[in-house]
Amino acid sequence: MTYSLCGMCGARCPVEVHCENGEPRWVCGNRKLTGSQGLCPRGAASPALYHDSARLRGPLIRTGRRGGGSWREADWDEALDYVAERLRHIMARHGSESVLLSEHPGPCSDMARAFMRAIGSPNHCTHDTSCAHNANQASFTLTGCGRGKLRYDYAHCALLVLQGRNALEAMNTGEARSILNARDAGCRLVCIDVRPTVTGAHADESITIRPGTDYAFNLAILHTLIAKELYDAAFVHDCVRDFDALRDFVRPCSPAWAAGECDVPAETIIALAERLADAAPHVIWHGGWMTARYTQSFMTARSALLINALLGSYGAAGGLLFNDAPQPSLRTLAALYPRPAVKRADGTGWRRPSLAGDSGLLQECLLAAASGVPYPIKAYIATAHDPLTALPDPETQRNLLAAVDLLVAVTPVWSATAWHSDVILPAHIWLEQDAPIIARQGARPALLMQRAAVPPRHNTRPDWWIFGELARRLGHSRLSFASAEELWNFQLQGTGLTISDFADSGGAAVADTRQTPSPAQARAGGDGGMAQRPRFPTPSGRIEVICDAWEAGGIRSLMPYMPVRRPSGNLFRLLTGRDVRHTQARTQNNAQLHRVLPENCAWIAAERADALGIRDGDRIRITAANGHSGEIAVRRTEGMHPDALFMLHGFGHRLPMEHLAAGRGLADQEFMPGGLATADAASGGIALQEHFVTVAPCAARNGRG
Amino acid sequence: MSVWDCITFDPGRCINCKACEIHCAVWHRREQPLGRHAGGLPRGGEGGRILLETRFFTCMHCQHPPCLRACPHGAISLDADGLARISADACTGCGACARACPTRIPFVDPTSGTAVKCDLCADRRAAGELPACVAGCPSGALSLTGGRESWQTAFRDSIRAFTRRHAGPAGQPDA
Repeated sequence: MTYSLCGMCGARCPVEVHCENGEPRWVCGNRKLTGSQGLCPRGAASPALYHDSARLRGPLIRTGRRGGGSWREADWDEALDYVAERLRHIMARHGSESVLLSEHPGPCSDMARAFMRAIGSPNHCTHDTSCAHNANQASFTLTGCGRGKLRYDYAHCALLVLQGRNALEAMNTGEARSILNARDAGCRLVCIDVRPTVTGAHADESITIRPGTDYAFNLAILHTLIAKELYDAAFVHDCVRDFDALRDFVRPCSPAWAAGECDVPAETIIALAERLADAAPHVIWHGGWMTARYTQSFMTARSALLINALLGSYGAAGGLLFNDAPQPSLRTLAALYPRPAVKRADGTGWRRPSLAGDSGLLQECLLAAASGVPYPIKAYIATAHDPLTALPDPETQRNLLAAVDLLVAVTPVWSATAWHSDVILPAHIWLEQDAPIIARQGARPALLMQRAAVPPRHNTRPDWWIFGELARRLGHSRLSFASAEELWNFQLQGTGLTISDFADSGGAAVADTRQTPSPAQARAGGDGGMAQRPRFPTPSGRIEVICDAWEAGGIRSLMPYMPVRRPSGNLFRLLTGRDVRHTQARTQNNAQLHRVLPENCAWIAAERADALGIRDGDRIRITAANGHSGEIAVRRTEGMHPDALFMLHGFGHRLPMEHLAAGRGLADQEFMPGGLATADAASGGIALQEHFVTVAPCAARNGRG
Repeated sequence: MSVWDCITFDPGRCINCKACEIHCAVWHRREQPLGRHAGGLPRGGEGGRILLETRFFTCMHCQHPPCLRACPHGAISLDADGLARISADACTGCGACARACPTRIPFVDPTSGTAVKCDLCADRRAAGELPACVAGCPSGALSLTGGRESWQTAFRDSIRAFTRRHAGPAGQPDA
């Protein structure tokens, strides 16, 4: 048995990998680190990934036209030499900054960042623009720190609001378990969403809201808290700057006004505000996870955090706590090289001076590739990331990518992006890979190690080795490590830990010498009698309603709500989401996951289906604004908002080697024409749910199963 | 191990993720799991409540198993722990056991042509481990219980849920 970290999604749950005859036998939770062998279906299906037909078997170099599917096999030296030579040529001609890299960060993130610094390009992007960008930036604007510095204290929470956060389906095992435990211990769970979800089924109260109007809902909650003087005045006095501006701003945003926007009765909004005040400060209004939804999602995320602020839940037991335990810190590869001085292609730091962090706006880099403004992007490395699926409008993306001379995919499985690339450098799957150590922040900080449990099945390599070898060929041999042990020893320098400290459980705890109060003491202390108020890393040390940096950049901190379009007839707003049985678009060909969720279908409200003469299970044709269309089965759904047509993301695969996934369901991103330019007005993050489709019954009912 | 040992399902903890099925199938190296998770899709009900009925159907390990009595080939017998076990050598794949079971747990494996069913992970139990579905459930919805009373409750719940499910409309694509 090997202790490792699951790589089936980004949550990196500690796991035990049980092997037999050199093959994975069973994968379950790490009992020593999590107290349970429980593991979500994707983690459980890891052994099926080992045998997946959509795995890559060795390096490939394209021979025909892009996306034509003609490849020649190459050995590793040839493939790496080829990429390094092309990169060298492009950088000599267009500058180092013409190289773009995007990733869905995992243990390799430090290596990818270091690689980009080493070659001198600032254009490292994460997938965040189509994920957590709005929630993270909202946290920065109000509290001065990213959302990762705060944690939700579910264990002591009395009222938890999950708004568009389907935490029990789009889930991470530890968080889902914490929420269920809290609910079993008496925490009231309120779910606000556009459709019925499993999270809603477990909630004490479920509120169906018109898609795109969460901001109006939250403004009415803020209005009610203030108008009825339900907020924590002492906390606001001590810890919130610019309260007067907020009070004046939300004065017109009454529950009666919001009711007309959100399709939620005013009494529901008022009752929720009152219950929040009763439970304060042991309340959490979840700040959102994937928030790349609407053009007002950034303001929605800000308003959610402002509700927490008015209720005094920051720093309170059962609220939002700072990670104040000593957090682990590893020696990083990125620190070996200075941050490149060149400005970023996506405008972060100059055109958008106020954006915090360095996750970037990938779509802006792709647009720069085609426009050459501020400078051309000529090489693009996508590692563990599939932008042609993750970002909207793949047709436009392919057109933009025509201006990129070299497209490299570093990935363990085939993807739309790999298929369209020039060179594929295949990485080990997680079961086969010793990976860089990662630091887990939070209440129980620890260092965690992903270790190879089985030998590689194909001619693949660890992703960190691939980048190290590319770096070495480009003259940066400090990133080249002969073995994982060498890399781990580098990371552990200065921590006082050695590799052997991970042998017992796969993790190494970080010593905490503080006197920590018991949960009972913590809750008593947080109940209005906090000796010490939290100090926020903002210039004033308080939550700043007006963010000076963004105001200086021309972005108003309190932006008025914009009414949303209300589709009727055969027009629907296209919504998308995730399910625990698949990770984005990369697990649909896994035999076990395919069996439990083979394809997506279109959820539409029962009343709209009836009006269109569509029955449950019928096949319909949906058509996007640009004429792109496809057929899909309908799920006639009671309790769904009538504006919406929902489908799970990640389906509609087409590659021939994806023999299970190909031809099953539809790909939501193909129904978002112009989606790269459809972004949040303030934050620049992609807004995936601002697209509309028309629906028509198919002539032959139930033609294909 | 008592003769009342069985897998008990708590719908209040189930998140409809089907990890139970996958842990089972992977552990037993099968395409199809031996236990079945039944859960449709959430839908709105009266008063804004969201309804979702979930259930895990697996062998209840009856003390007088109808499957055993129904087998015309004597392929099913009780093991030392009182669990009905199917002998692959003696089984002809006739399916009589599946028809006799009140919740249709045994099924004829298309590859081997013989009937198979849950044995509470006999190999894991021998090593002191919980059944794979119970150990692997991420939300703690499954547990291994012993005792006459809990067995009777679990058995009745399972039959009721099975009957309800089969009285209702046919299943839908689960997405």
